[in-house]
Amino acid sequence: MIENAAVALLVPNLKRHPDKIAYFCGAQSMTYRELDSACRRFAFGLQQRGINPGERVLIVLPDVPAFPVAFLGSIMAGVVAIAAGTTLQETDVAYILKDSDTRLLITHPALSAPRAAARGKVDEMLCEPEGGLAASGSEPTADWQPYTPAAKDFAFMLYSSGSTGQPKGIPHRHPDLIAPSRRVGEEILGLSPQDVIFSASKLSFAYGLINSLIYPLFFGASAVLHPGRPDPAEILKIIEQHRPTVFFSVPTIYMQLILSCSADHMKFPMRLCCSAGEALPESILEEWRRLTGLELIDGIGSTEACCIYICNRPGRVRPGSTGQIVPGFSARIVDDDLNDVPPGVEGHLLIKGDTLAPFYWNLPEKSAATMLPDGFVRTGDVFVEQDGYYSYRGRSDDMIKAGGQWISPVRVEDTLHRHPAVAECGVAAISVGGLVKPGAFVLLAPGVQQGAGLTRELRDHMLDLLPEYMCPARYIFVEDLPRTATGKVKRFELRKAI
Amino acid sequence: MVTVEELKRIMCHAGIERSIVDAMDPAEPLALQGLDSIDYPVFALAVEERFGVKISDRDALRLKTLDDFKQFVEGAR
Repeated sequence: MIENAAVALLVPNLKRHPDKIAYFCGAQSMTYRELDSACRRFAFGLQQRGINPGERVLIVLPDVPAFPVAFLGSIMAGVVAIAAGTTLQETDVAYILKDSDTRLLITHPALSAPRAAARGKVDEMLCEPEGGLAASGSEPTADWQPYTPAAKDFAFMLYSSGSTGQPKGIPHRHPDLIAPSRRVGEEILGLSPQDVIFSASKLSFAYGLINSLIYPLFFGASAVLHPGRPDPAEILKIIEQHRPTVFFSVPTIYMQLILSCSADHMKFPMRLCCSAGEALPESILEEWRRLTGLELIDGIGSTEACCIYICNRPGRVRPGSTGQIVPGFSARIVDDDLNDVPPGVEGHLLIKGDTLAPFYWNLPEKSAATMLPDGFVRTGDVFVEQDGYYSYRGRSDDMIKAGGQWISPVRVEDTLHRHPAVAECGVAAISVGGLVKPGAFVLLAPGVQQGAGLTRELRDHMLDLLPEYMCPARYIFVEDLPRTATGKVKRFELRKAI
Repeated sequence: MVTVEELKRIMCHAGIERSIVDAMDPAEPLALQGLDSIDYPVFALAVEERFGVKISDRDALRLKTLDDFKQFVEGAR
């Protein structure tokens, strides 16, 4: 038996400072006492609904106080909390509901896609329009106790986009929620109870979950939740209002903040600004430092690791490098045959650490190909190591990471191909301002003329069918597409063509 | 000579919402006028394609307003 992660995170704060604010969200706030009480009611409510330890619930919520309540409350009851993004389409949510055999959907009344996906199939619990979850359960009986998990029990699961476009479930155990706070929060970032944390990356991503939900509780700090889109004007307003000391985001948002500044410098209250989710171009790191006087602490992690595993250190940032290995992880850089390559030579990055997910949910073949027998996991990233510093060089597959979100070219191509003007197409990563975006190479159907009107038509077609971040930033009309002998589009050649 | 109106037309053709484009002040940052992290690269790439110019990583961080784009394109041609 091990300690329940939700209990381990909540109880010390309840003893230490029950009336301290754990979460700010717009005009609302939630103290540690209120959070603990709401989590217990939620956990008890799940039991009363007959949802047993090990069963799954799906949380599709914006970053509002109901999210930590549902997430921690589920874990407290031993129920596996699945978190998924609010921009997912109905088909994706339906897939996740089925794949995970979810018992209950917890969502917001304004979110139509998850509600439509669950209708008639899975019970639904709605948070209040303002983001509270007061009516989720009654006060537990005096003898009620949170679930005591076994070491093998899963606590939560996140879904990440797979190479075929279908989401893949990545389950994690209770200790996986605690370890990142020690390894990164304490040893690298030096977080403390005095910190006010603001993460522009959302709670439904591993990066945002650790930043906004776990770090504040582990350190007894406070966090600011922002339910809306990460719009630069909104972010600047929140920074002004709540004066966070630590800010987490992705390079795309740092670029937006830079672009929103017409003055020569920006004055911020933060002591630390951290970046992850996609490769950080040196140009953004330098311009951020020039404008704000603050360094950007870049790192890389994954949903599989539930933690940042390579990271720069405050005061020792090396521009162009993602940093050094995080304590508790080991890394190898290998060739195609899994032989280690010498320092300075590019290769595939493998990582090992005790927070790694043991497998992908219901995907034994994908699991065997990714999670190797010696405990190392393929990251799919190409890195080079020199003097203990790791530098990102690209992907070893065709997946695109844009704005911190995975994009499967297969899915974008399939959607684009549905437009009658498109005879054939290939989607590959292109670079804009040093950041990666999806680009589409289009071979037009006979008789169709290229032009601005067609570009707009294709863009509207894609926006109708896909989340905005998946839509190509550019349409390049070509006479032919490079193909392998078996007829597959050679996306790596498309990448090189730009 | 490049005009702000021409840049706005490029924006519309690239698929950026007309109501956002019509209301734009050329001297104010695009990022504060509704051009989000998806629209900005779409516009920057459309400008590259239309005028045959190359926007470097560093340039992309300094091109904040329509006036900036206008000056950049005129200087690069």
